[in-house]
Amino acid sequence: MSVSEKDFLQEVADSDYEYGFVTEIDADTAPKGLSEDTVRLIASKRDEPAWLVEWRLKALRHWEAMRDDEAYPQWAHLHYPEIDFQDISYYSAPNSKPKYESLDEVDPELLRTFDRLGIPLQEQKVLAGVAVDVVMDSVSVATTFKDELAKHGIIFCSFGEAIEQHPELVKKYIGSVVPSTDNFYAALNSAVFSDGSFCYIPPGVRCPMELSTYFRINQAGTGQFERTLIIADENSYVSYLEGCTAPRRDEHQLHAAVVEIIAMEGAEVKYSTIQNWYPGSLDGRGGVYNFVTKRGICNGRGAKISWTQLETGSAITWKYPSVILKGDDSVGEFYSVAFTKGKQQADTGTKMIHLGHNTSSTIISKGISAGESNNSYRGLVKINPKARNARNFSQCDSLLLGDRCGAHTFPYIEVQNSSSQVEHEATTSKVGEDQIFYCNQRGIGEAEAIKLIVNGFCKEILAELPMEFAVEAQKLLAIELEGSVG
Amino acid sequence: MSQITDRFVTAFKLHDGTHLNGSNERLRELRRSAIESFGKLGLPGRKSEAWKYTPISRYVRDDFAIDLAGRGAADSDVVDVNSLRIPGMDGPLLVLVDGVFSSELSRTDGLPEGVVAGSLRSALAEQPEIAESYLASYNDIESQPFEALNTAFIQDGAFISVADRTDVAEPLEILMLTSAEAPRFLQPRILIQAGENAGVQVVEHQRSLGNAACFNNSLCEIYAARHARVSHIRLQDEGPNAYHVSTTRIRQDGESDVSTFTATLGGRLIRNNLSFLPDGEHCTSHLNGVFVGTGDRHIDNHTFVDHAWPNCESNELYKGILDDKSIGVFNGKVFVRRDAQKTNAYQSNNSVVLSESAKMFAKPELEIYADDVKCSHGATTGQLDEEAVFYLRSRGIDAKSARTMMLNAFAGEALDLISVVPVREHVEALLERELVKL
Repeated sequence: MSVSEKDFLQEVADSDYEYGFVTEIDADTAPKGLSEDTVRLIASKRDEPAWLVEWRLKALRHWEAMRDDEAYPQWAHLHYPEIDFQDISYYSAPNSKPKYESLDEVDPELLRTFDRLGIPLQEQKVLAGVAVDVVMDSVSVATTFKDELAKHGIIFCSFGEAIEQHPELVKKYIGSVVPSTDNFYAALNSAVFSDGSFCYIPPGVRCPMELSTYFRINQAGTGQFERTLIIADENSYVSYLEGCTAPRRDEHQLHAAVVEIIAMEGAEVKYSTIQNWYPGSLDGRGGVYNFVTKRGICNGRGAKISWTQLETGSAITWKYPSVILKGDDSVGEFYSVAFTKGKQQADTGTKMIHLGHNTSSTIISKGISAGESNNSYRGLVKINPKARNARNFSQCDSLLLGDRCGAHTFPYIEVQNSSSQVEHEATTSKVGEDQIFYCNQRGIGEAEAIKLIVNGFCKEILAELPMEFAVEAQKLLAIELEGSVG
Repeated sequence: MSQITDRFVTAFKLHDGTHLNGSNERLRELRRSAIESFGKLGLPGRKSEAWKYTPISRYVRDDFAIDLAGRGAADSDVVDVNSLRIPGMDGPLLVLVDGVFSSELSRTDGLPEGVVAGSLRSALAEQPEIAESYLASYNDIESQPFEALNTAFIQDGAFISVADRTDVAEPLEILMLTSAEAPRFLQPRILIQAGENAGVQVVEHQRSLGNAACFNNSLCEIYAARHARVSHIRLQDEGPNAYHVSTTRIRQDGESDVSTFTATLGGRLIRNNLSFLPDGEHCTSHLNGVFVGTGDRHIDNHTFVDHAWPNCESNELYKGILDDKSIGVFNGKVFVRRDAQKTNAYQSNNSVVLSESAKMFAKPELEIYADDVKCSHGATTGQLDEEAVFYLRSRGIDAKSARTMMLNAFAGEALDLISVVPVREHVEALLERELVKL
């Protein structure tokens, strides 16, 4: 490796988190610790109905039992100190509570934060046509384009509002894809989830715009426990964007979200994520612990769920967006780019559970490791005995930048009938010296060449993102790579 | 401690110093630490990741006798050994009957100078330095219960040692026979050591004589010195009531070339643990195999290559055919350590599932900590290409022959890697035998 390439990789590995700043907004924070009282406090803050409080308490009891058995998920290729769940505050809401009709009423400090993040909240309305349900910590403070969506009968609101206004839908579908007892972190989320987004697309409606939510952890010492529920009724279509950046913090912040998607017959849901939470300092201090349960179910014939993610942040990423292919002819897709540097650790992948006939799934995962990071793909493709003519294709490629990092692949392939076809392939390599040489020959410097090659490596995935997001994703990846190289 | 674990520990205490001889100080130490470790580990439970698809404790039954006095070679002379051998193999032969070496049945004359082939028990007694420098020197008795168990109960087995610069032209056949007529738990052991620039081919042929449900926990260790060339072929052709956990541990010095082939065409439950440690630069390792499942056969192949040194190469190809209610498991792990730059590792596993009730579980793993490497793996599970079958049928070949032809071609890619011709032909014949059942 030439000196300049080494320097470049060093700089990449050392580059600071660009979005590390704290917005000072008065917040209403619950005392640290988790007990039945905490759950009741969260529920009472939101005036929740009794059935939901019961549901939360049931999840809490399950979680407590798992905690007492020390049944933490330990199978992942991740190393981190034990989390003290009693040292975390489980609720925090910005104080400027009233819901705004116009942006003028929004806390200017908050707006400035979004400006610095490069989210043109106001321009977006006009230019991008994106409705943004901004989650600042745990309570939605601005929801736009609601009227436009309402015309089509689309419900897009905060989870809290959905509980108030559409309790029948929430009650029917909450926990139907990710039960409250599904796993340790899903149980935790079910007990203490504070807010999130809710989306319902009526039958036959094609959502006229990309729905988008920016999540942002902002309160020191509070975990965020969002819950997202998307229901796409028969023959509807929706593209949903989720993106996040989090400010610099020295203590670990726990994030345990749950996302549930229900796609009915003929419906299609496209869920895109850019995850750029604070990854911790170079020596591995701080950073977000991201334990996420994301799962969708194709509930009817010909339904389709597609997950696309760009994961560049978090100290720990534990995330497996999955699809249950229950309906015949349903389709599941998973496209992922995971970039880790410094001391980041990512263990991410997907589960494709084939139940219906003629179901098909595609998995394309690209992992890039730099610095001293570890990047793992972990996936399951399960073909049930009754899933006749199921089809899966998986491809997992890893790129290593530097000689102190690790790239791992742990695929599980379970085939239980004779009419299905499953293919899996994985490769691991570094940026080829011949590739760099080729660029050099044409007057492209080392740094630019590596950017070019990495971009090419990920192109397949980034192309899956909606346009506005793809631009941001490319920018983010360039920043991650670039460091201070000008 | 579970009841089964307890039985083994009790049996050990009962026989320590008698049937489990203590003539060799190092062996005595080894046994004691192994049984202690086994006592702690117990048999793998349902939550053990390495045994996820093979619930082994369900198969280690209470009625397996742990009979260490066993039957010796004396009453095994009734066996017509030649009919049990691989046709066309008429070279040196080592016979193990229920884990005990039979000098009467074995034929080791005509071996070149510098080659020792015979009983492991005698070798350990006569050449204690073997125990000192090789026995269990690349074992994992701390975390692998079956390795710990075998090591604790080392009694006898086969021993092959090839001196430096010695080439053994004829392949050696080890016939591992299970003759017991009542359920028994047996633990044969094989130790193969090849010196610098030595070359040797060993065929380990596992067969059962009776129909009793017997459990074999066999362990084979191979040590290859610099520039050595070792080929190990395991042919598993046991009866429908045979349970076998077969562990192979291989340590290679620099520039050596070791290849293994595992053909599983018999047995009820077969689990193969194969570990390679290329312990020097420029090693080449080959891990190949075929497995055919019919009836309710359960075949589990776990392979592990521990690339710790730069400039090594490993190649792996496993092909499986599964029919009826059989279950196939493949778990291949390639581990590349920080300093193992320029590693070139390739792994491939292809399986054909022919029946609605057969199952295949594959888990090809890569764990890589060095950047200048070329590592890839591929795994496919599918069925026969019906269009190709149709093509054959349209030319007047009946459906069954067409399918057999296709399956032969499918397995052929792996079978071509068997270097000993009579063995390859015999495996092909066994494949035909199994395919007729389909």
